[in-house]
Amino acid sequence: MELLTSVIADTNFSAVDWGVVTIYLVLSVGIGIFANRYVGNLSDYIVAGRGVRTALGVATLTGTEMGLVTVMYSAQKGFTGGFAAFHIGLISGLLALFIGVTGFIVTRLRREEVLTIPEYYGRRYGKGVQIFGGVMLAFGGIFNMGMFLKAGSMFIVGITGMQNESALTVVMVVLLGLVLFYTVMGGMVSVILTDYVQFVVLSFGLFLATGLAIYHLGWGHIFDVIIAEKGEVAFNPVAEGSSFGFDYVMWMAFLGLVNCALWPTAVARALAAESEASVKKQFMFSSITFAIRNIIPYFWGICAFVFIMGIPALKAAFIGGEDGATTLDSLYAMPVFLGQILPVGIIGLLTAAMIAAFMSTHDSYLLCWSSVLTNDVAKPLLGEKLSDKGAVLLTRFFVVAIGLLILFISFVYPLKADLWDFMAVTGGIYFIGAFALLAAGLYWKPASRFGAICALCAGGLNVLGLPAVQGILLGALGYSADRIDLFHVTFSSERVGLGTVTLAVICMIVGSLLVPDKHPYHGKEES
Amino acid sequence: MDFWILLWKLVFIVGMIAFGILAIWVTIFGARDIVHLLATLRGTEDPEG
Repeated sequence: MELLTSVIADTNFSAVDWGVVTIYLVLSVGIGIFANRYVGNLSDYIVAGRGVRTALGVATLTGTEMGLVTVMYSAQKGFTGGFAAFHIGLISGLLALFIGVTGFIVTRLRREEVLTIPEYYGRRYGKGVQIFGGVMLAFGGIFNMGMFLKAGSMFIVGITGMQNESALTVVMVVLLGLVLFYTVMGGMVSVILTDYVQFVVLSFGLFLATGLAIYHLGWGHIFDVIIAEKGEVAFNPVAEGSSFGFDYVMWMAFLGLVNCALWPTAVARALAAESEASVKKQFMFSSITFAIRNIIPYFWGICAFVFIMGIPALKAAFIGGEDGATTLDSLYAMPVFLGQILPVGIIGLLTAAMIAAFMSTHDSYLLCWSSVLTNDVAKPLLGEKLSDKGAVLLTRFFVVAIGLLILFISFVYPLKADLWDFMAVTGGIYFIGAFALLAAGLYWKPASRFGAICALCAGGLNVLGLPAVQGILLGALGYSADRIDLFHVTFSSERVGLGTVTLAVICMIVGSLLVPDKHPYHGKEES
Repeated sequence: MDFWILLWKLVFIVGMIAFGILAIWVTIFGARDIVHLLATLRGTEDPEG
């Protein structure tokens, strides 16, 4: 704590900046109250009455997928991996473009006019798969969201230079309280309106901070320092000795695909779109933001590394000295860097933009998981007993309950890997099974209920990619190692992920062929 | 290594320009879409609400 306090004390954040942040927060709460007037039924609450056109769709998709947590984990990847991390953003953008051009999965889901992905499971594979899939999605999603709050609050503490020991906890509670308020009030209408405001503020903040970072460090100097300090591995993701490697690039390619076509918060935008054509356009245009949402923060992380290498005290705090003393979490590097180079006023604007990013992601994610729990778990179980107004009320209850749960996870879970790798693994618990169910369900007629259940179970095995889970498992078996190592093959998260994807696809195919459905569902025709 | 340096420089510069154009377009036309969305929702509003 003492080391952190001394490092963040030099920030330029002032009373003027607190004023800018406060104005922004009041505006967000006002939008929540305003949007509440437009929520009539569950469809208005979850998919905004399906009245979202392309430009607004791009704003809301960007607002959701470019959260503060994205900025934080990407900056950490840039700090540790250098320019080689850019491959993740490039792949992500190209795959979003592919989804936009072909409409792979998303247009067919939009055609089904479902509210959530598990609702499609119910139509295609039956009620049991809908409930099981809904529980898997909510479990993976909420676990995945567990670190959002902490990472976002670390940014606020790092950039504002808060000195209090309990600052991180206070920031987490205040931010969560604000998000819960306007999400509960206005549902998707409020989420979309705030996403638009957040897109405008965020875009401006990103350009300004990037320009000032280049101006402060010098374009050529950034590359010179990275070449001198890290060498080829900081540019070539498949170079020998790289922290990425071929397995990692393959895993990122799969993640790029699922981030656009399967990740429920992204798909929710497709489901809220006015038409199938609008869905395709939304993804085509958003391919730019799918790339840039990673690339800009990678660049900030790289700039933070260059900046820190030039200041001995910061270098000792983040990289470590010869005495082998404990170093600061690299997640703090980027906010500390920005806190020291941005001038008064601009730093408040950027913080407001980042809080905007934080809130736009949290509201969408809270709404997404809670609507899945209502629509795909409670509704199939309660049937007619759950009225439309009761469903809205229950969704609001889940929003608050999930919020409290992520606050709890923030306190108890020990983050042992890079934040991005943690999120890839926890997200995989849901999306690996979902990939098999949606791709097969939408494009392969023999896909059956039994195959779907096997694939969902296989996807759940991805939890083994977490170092903490491997540690617990090995500890229970009496081993002291941190990672499973079989026949000299280490179970890294990317290998576990790729193995689980293969297993889920095999389970889907073999299970469907062995136990076919008696009355298969053929889907809706193209309108 | 020169190939990778050139590639990432290009990706960064092209990405920033494309994002700049997109941001202007979304800011202008997104405001128009909000008006349309609110009009749509007024039409589907629950009469009891």
